[in-house]
Amino acid sequence: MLKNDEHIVLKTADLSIGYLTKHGDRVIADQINLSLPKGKLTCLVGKNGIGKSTLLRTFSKMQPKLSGSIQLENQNIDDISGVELAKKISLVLTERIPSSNLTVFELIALGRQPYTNWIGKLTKQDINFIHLAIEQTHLKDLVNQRCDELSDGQLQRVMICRALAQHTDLIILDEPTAHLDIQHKIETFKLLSNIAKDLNRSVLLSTHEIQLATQMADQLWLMTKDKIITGEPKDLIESDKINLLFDSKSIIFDKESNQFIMK
Amino acid sequence: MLFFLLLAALFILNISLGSVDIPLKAVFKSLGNQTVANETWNYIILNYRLPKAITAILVGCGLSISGLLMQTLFRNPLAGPYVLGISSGASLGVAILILGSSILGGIFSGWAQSQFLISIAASAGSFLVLFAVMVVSKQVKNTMSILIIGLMFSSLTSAVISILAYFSSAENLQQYMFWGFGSLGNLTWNELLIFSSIFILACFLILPVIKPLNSLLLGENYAKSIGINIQKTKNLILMATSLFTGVITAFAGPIAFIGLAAPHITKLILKTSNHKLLLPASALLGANIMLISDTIAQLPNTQYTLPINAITTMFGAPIVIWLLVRKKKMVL
Amino acid sequence: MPVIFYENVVPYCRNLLVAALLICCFSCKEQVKTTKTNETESKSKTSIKYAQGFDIQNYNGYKKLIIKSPYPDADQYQEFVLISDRDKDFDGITKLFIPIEKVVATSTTHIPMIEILGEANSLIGFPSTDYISSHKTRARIQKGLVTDLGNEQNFNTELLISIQPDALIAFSMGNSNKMFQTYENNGIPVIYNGDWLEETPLGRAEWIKFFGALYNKDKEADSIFRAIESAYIEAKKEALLAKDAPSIMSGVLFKDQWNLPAGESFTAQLYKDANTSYIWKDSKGQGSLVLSFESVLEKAENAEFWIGSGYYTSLEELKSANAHYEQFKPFKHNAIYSFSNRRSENGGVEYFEFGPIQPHIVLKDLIKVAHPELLPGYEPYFLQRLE
Repeated sequence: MLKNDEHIVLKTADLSIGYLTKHGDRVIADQINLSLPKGKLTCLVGKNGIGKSTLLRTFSKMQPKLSGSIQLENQNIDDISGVELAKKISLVLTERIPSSNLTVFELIALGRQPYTNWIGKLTKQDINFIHLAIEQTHLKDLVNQRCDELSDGQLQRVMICRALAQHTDLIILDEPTAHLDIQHKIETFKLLSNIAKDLNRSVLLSTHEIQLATQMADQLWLMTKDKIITGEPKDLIESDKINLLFDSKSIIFDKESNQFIMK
Repeated sequence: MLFFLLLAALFILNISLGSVDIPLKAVFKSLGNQTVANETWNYIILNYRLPKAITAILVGCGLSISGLLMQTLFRNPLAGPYVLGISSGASLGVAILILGSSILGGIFSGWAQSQFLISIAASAGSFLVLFAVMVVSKQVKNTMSILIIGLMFSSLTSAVISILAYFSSAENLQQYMFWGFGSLGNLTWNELLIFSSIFILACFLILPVIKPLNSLLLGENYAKSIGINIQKTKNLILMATSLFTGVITAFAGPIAFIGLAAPHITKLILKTSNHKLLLPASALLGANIMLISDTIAQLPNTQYTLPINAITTMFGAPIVIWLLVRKKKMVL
Repeated sequence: MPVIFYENVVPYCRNLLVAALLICCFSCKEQVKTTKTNETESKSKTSIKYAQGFDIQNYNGYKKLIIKSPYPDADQYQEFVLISDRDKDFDGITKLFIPIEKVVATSTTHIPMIEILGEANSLIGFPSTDYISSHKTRARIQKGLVTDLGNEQNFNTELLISIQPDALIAFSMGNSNKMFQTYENNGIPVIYNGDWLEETPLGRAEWIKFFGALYNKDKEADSIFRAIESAYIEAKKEALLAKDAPSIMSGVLFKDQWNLPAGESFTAQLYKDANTSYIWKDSKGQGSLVLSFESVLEKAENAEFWIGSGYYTSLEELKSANAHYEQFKPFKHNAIYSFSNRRSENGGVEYFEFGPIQPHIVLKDLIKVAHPELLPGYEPYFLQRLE
């Protein structure tokens, strides 16, 4: 339905992802047909090395797709320029940022770069968006601190805040809770869920936290060797499709305790 | 800002002090184009000290800006303007001219004497390396690899220079060595004009890069995600650095240390990573350090002088060590 | 990834290293053999008047050649017993049977002295023979009679040993001692010639007696020297007849640093003997001074003559090398003279090769330039005006 389409931020059609090498294309996954709706938190889960990061990087144009198409808000992603793309997709990655003198405010302000002029001057509107993002991520107290002096959990919140300030419809996060302790993992998931719902953004993240994903995600993408299975967590659990995550007979998802156990 | 006032003061100081004792009043008279009692003084001030002071400022600015650019681009606080090998290229050009002319002998021996040819040789050398660096940067997407390749260029050129040195005559070797000590006081007004033009050109290249520089503080991936054209930014930074370093080495020889130290000292003083502030501040600080170093190198009121590189290193290195010991961390 | 910090420091360090090496060379001290002999025979008084670097002592049936300054900062002498009568042999000493018949020289200054004693045929080896200008020797080089031993800092050892010279006349700045040690170990007597360390022109010329002793032609060497000496003293006396002593500047710029001879140097001595007023005559040192451009300009702007302008061959070259040169009066009045302009066919600078043995010519050149009214009919030979 047309109404449904309006809420779809990103859609792929027969997408094939992988690497272009001299000896031919190395296909990681193909025939990918997915869509990301607004207002929902989507979690991409799968074994290590299955290609989750490749998928995310292809979505954000960090690496080229092999074939097929990606539509971003009904526009072919190939036709979107770098700056325009930055206004539609923001990223949070696992990599550590280099050590510098940046304050929390300055780092978040970098999220406004796609909108500022050649010298990067922040207008009133930019500052508003920044303050808004700060409020939404509860970072008011840390605003003037140096990023170097933050804990991992705080820094991750700052990176998410920066992505928020970028004011994009789609936020993509690559294993955002990888370095965090359990408390911060939960807090991050909660934050992302709230962002999706309350701010009506589309949030896509890849993760190994199956527990949290099944509990907090609106949509799960299970990435296996052959295909990506999508659906709501409870549906996937109900239909036992969730077991396709690990192709080992000895690991199954226990519906009662709501977690994977060894048989 | 404070740096600017300091600059003005040091400028005057640098011009007033030198081997020959010229009273301050005469200095001002000379600058103001009034007649001075002693014609020699006038000549010294207008044709020797003034160009030297301006050269010092341009060298200081250019090297610190380049150093800052390199540190941010390569995300490495130990990078400096010479990591691309540009200055080694210039040295190679000069070595081939000076040392090679002695080996070839005959008509070529006169070539080593010409100031003009030396500048040309240095520029040619720099451009050769610049060209190589740009080609490499197109093929090699990985920024770190460019850094390593730059260092390899430096080693290569050093090796070639060693071979040339081995076969050349003692006097040409000495001349090459002297060139290597760096010298600010050797530019005519014409040369200064060329120097300044290229300098200003390089400055223009930097203007569109200020915003991307701040994004690069997050790393290339993040920078790309906020819409920065990494390749274009890289190219502009490499070109600007090469222009600065190339022209400085061509006219003043390889000046050590400023490019590495000035940005760090600026960062440690201003405690910011914002390039809008850092670029002009480092430039001014670099200029100030050069002026001080040159004033000292002149050993005022004695007949003797010291090579400028000795002073810049002797001052710069301990300062950075002291600042680090206090602060304990080197950041971008 | 640790970026190498030395990127900045390497260019400077490299220069520092080279400079340090050169300095090391000058302070390198090596063991120089000294031996004692039976001094039962009487010895005659030394006949060396001006030279400080060597001495010849005559005994009954043999001579002693003592090299007091083989190279800069040497702390030991070299002593050789020169024996002309093969019967009179001593053991356990450094000896040399004279006259020597096959010799290897190492500086072009040795060649004219060898030739003037009529011993041109004794030269069998020389490093980089291209530099030699002396005619007789050039002819022998063409005929292949003089072996080219390669780089003067690093001889081709095999070649040297294969030609088996009776002696190697060594020129050393102090750093090649190791190389010469090898030759001594192979049985080739190494005799250091320190003529270039002499502070006076006559002292330097007197080294002809050094060669005279080696070829057993002391009498000839003596008379040649006496002729030079009297010509020199004549010229010096003549110079005193001049009405005034013009001011002289010297040297050239390296970037913005001026290199010129110090007040106690060999060159300064020449200026003094020519009855001129060298602007830096009161400075200390026997080598060169490195001064700031400013101070040189202040002192020498109005010098009357500029003598010794490096290797520049013309005023044009001088100007293109550095615009500052035009400020000096000698430039404006065309009064710049160079010793290095007269070159032989193969490009060698004649002054370097022939200057030491013709100090009287050098002095007369200076006198004629500084006092044109003296020495009528004399045309300067080495010293040429820059056009």
